[in-house]
Amino acid sequence: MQKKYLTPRTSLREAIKNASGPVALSNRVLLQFVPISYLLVLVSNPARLEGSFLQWISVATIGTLATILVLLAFRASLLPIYPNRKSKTLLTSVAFVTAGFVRGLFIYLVGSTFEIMPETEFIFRLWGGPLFVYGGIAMLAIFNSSRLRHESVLSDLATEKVELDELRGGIKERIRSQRQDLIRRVQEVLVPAIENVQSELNSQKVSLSNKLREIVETVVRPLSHEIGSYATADESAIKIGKRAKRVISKGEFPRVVSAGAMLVPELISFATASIAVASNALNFPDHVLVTSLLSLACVYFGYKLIQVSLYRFWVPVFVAVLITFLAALAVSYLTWFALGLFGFELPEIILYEFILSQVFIGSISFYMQYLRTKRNAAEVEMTKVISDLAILNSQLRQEVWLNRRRIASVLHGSVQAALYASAIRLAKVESPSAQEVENVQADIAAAISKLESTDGAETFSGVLEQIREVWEGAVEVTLPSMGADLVAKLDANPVASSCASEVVREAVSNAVKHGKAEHVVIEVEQTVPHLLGITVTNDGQPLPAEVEAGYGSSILNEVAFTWQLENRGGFTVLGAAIAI
Amino acid sequence: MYSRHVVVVEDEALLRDLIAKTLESSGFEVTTAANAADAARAFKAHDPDAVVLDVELGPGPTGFDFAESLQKTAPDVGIVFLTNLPDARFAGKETKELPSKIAYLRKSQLIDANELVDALEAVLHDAVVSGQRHDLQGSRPLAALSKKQILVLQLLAMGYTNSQIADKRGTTVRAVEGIVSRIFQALEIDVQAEGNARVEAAATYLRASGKSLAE
Repeated sequence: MQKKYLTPRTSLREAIKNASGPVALSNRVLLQFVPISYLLVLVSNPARLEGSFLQWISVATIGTLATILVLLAFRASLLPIYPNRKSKTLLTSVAFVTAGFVRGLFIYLVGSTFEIMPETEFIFRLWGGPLFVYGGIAMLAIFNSSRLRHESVLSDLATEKVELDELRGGIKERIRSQRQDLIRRVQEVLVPAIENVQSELNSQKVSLSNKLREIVETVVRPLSHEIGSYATADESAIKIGKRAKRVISKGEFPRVVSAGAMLVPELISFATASIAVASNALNFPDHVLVTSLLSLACVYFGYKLIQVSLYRFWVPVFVAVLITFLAALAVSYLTWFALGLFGFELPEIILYEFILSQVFIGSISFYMQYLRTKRNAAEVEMTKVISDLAILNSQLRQEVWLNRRRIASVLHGSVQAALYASAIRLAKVESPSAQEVENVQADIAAAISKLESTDGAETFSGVLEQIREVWEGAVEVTLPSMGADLVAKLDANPVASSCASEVVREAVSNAVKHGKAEHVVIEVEQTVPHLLGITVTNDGQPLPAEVEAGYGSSILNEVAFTWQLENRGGFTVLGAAIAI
Repeated sequence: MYSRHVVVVEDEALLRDLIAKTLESSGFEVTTAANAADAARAFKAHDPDAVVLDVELGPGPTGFDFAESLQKTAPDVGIVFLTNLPDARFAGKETKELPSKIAYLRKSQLIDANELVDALEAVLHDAVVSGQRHDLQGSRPLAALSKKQILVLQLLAMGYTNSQIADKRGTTVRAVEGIVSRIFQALEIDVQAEGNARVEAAATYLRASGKSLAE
């Protein structure tokens, strides 16, 4: 089944806000208005009035210039353009009406000068000018505001991606430095150990020394290799990055769209009004209101019916275009038929002009909706990219954290313990036997070999049980009931499991120590495919600010995708999401 | 016949067994535990007099967590911490947050097993002397730094910039710069000298903490 591309629903409030915002009088909108202005004059007049093409070009030029000059005057005085300027609906409407009025007047005057404009046109021009300017500029403003918003959102998302990429670069650097740190540390631990044990065992000097040096070679190298295996994660990040680049550069073209969603009855009616009312003033001067209401009602409800009927009708784009044209045709005939039914007959040429205008307006509506669909798809995809990248970064951070923890745990746990134990044991004997020396060597080798092993990691459920047991008697800890699927998923992911364990341990410890809690409830659930939600609620006091910003929060920052601490209904609640 | 019962909580089997044998030979009845939960079970079963407690016990609750729990359930039990950590600040805690009347021994300074036995006797008789608090010795690593400075140094060692540290701590970059500057001063790091002062500070922290980054 082909992917369906959703078209965001239109909002009248948003449309009004955009139509009267700073974009309405921008150079971009005014320039886009020019060809439309020419088109209207050249399409609607020569067919029914006298005059050469050159004369109508002149009329269109003067009319367009007059319109734009008035709008520029408003822009220079009452409606300046600056970022984040609030929408001014009333003042912007005054600007549109004034510009339209001046336009109508100039078109009439220039037409009269050329003797191609009958006096009967005067009222039509005074009606038509304001309606056309209002409709045309408002539509362009809505269109451009939507596009600018889209560009702004994509730009913000792109910036976020750059930041995440930088962060990822930082993590990679930390993994690299971690490897160097590891090598240095293994040597730091082993070299003094060799010297220490050598001083106790003169007779075994050569063989023990060699044995320990061998361990450096056999332990450090495999471990370095293991740390270097983060390439897999890097490849995933590169793939995600490519997806993001594709989205920013050209976007994805929607192939299957909702036929109904491509029609916007409100917008089409609004645009139709800017032409039809004036046309009615010309054709039915005594019944302008009735004919206008009737024709606009036909247009609005006709498109609305089609829109609702076809909203769940998913079709390829070219079919949606065809449907839009057919809808324009149907609505035009419906309007023509309805007007005729009420005794307002129109000549066929007007019907054809009306069909042409509806196809034109419908095309604009379609194009705007198509762009909105495309933008929506791009935004959804980009947001998903960012989300994937953020989760990947979180997983990388987790790996870094767990790697550190494991290296530290082995080097400074097992290895040091083996060395200290050996030193203490040997200190008790004056002259160690060959067997005792061998035992010491075996202990140290066994401890160091743990660096290569990931066995023995406690499961998440096991750690939760440990936490409950340790605090039993001091604090009542209620553990979560987890489904078998989730338990299996966590058991299969020791990195996420360790991170989740650490979050819970830290949260319970802080709740008891700083919050003096008596009851702690732990809840765990998989909220979205790649995130594990952990909630730790306690009845203690909220943590003081210095604790929030301290050690515990640094661990949370390292291992959690997101986390927050809040007071809710008298309880302190820590919520954390862990990437899995 | 043993007169006192001790629980030894140590995740490393080798060291755990050695400590157990040493204490047994000194007249203690010993129960061993590999983690805090094992220790909690041992406490329920034997109601011991004292505990020898490592801080880092692998995944799950730490030795500090268990000590905190003991303070609530068995405040009369003597506690001897036996750990790699120079002091509590390296686990993000203040020394004053630790239970009172404890002994704190660093593994690296414990060659003579009698020192551990003496510390146990001291906590059992409320007679801990300064030599049994390695975490309070002036010669311990980074003794001159406060807990806050240790935390900032820890973040610095993790590679965070001043801006990121300020963000994490909810303070200003200027405040962090001040702390970092005082850390350099306390560690006697010459910021004008060749090489990176931050790298040197981070290396100093890593050496002092006796552990890897941020652990």
